[in-house]
Amino acid sequence: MAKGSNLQVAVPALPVPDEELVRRVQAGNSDAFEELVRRYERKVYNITYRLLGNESDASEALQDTFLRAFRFLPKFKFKSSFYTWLYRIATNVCLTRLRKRKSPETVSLDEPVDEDGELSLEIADSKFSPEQVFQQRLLREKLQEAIEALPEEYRTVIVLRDLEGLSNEEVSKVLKLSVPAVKSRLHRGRLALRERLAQYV
Amino acid sequence: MRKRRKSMQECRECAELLEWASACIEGDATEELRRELMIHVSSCTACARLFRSLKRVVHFCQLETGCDVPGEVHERLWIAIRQELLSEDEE
Repeated sequence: MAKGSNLQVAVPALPVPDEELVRRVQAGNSDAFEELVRRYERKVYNITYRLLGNESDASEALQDTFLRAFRFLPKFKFKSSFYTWLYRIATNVCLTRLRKRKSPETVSLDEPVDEDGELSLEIADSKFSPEQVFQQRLLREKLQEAIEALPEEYRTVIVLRDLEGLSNEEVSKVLKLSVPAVKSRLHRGRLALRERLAQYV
Repeated sequence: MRKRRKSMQECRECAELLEWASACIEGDATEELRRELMIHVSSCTACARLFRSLKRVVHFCQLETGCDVPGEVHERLWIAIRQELLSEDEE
């Protein structure tokens, strides 16, 4: 480039890393906390919805999670990533709520999912006909029902690993389990899920 | 991965396949194990059905992108957060 050229290249600003935002919150910057909420609101909502199974409870758990995160952020020691710490709070909030439910819904894993349903869905095919779109929506509902029927130790692992896409290592940090324990629960959870969804897939 | 104790042809009620199927889906299985599993499922209808449906369930879960936060839920969250931040400022 010629010396003294005025050529300027617009470089998009890189997002501020989570850890930097946490440091800013710890220094009293509330805007930084709002940015963290914006980043993780959707993800945390999906975890709480998957674990609790309805919008009302998921909404309250979402609020609880971020309010607890805000209160405890001053003590955050950077021993894990911010999001695994946040997901751990969300998971614990949900598990506490599940245990407090007076009459928890317990559904036998052997119970037929839907006696009327006899669906066959090629999930891998992305070009869905209207019928397949309908079937996919139905399958999605059945999936959520099947997840809610799982014992909580399987449900948490399936939600974090298969639905939210965390690695086995990340799940082990969120749930404070060993990686082999995560794999074992994942395997048994998948088998239980398959049992309930077998007639649909 | 648990050490294999017997060949797949000998396994009773295909119990060992259950362990291996998840390992294969996870990508944890060795090439040899994968090959053996494929040979087995090509001759065992029950295992083939189980393996196929397990893969589809896992695949469907992984395709699930989740949902956006509903408008009212989003509003309630931000009201709660702003109240919390305000009370923090006042202290």
